[in-house]
Amino acid sequence: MESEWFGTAAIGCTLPFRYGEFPGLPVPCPIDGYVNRLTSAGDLRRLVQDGFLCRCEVRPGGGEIKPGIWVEDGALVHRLARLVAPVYLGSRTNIGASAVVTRFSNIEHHSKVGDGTIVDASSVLPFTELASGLEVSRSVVEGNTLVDVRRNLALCIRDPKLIRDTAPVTRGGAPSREAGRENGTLGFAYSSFFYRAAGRLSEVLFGD
Amino acid sequence: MTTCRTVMVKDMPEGVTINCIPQLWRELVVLFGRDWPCLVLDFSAVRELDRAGVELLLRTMEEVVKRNGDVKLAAVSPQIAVILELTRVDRLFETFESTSDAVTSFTSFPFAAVNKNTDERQTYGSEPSRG
Repeated sequence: MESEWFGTAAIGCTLPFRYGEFPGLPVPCPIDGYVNRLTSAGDLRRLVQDGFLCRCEVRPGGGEIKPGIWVEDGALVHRLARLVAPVYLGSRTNIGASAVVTRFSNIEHHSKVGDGTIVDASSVLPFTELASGLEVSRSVVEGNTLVDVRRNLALCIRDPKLIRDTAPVTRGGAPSREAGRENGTLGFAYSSFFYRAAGRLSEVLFGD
Repeated sequence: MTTCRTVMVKDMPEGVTINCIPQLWRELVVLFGRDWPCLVLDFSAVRELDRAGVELLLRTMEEVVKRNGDVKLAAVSPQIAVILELTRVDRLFETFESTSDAVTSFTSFPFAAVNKNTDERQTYGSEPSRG
């Protein structure tokens, strides 16, 4: 709706406005603070970037072993792997030889990056295994599902030699991401918030 | 000297997966079994591509280049483009929106590439000041 029309219509109304006086019009709700609606994978990437840049209260957890490089306990990084700040590695992650993790990427807990794989401006969510020699760029990966942020495209990759879901398996045989979420949250501080945000995004994107 | 090369178009199946690789390879070998093969792989029907399919593309490229030919991809869907990017194969193949574009690219001069280079030069290049 055009703001000019809204201003003109508001002149003839009783002030203050009552909620619902103009059905269908957005009601302004001024909020002091950071807002991210998390309606797409791009929003999740923006949240991660804002966390790294201290634009919101979400912060990477673990220890900052070098400027801009946060690593949780139990993370294994091959000596030939290359980490370019700012990046975050969750607990029990495994970064293979000659792998490159760069540009605001976060590798969440129990994830694995294969030898020679490049993770660039991407989020690898928990219990995800990337094979060797891949290039994951501007994407969000959860299990065997990859969301390309540039194309706004979700893709389920069935070939386990490319991307594999390593979530704990339930009795029925299906991988249970919920069990993993109960065991550990995402590794950022205020992680309960971040975890809920990512969980909600998963519901939107992957239909959990 | 003039050369007249025949461009061959191969329609790829819906799933380029490990199950159909042997059959597909036999069909491709027939196509590039001569010198200077010009091959267009039509991906318009492809919905699934796995690691074996990517290896098939690489082997095809290898064999065609050995014979001084070229392989081009046509009508690649966004899903397949993501997999090609993921496996870093996208930079090896020229891709086109349609099969006809890919076929004509073998014979026409690549004006688009020239224009692109010219634009980049105009944007990023700095002319030395004279006088």
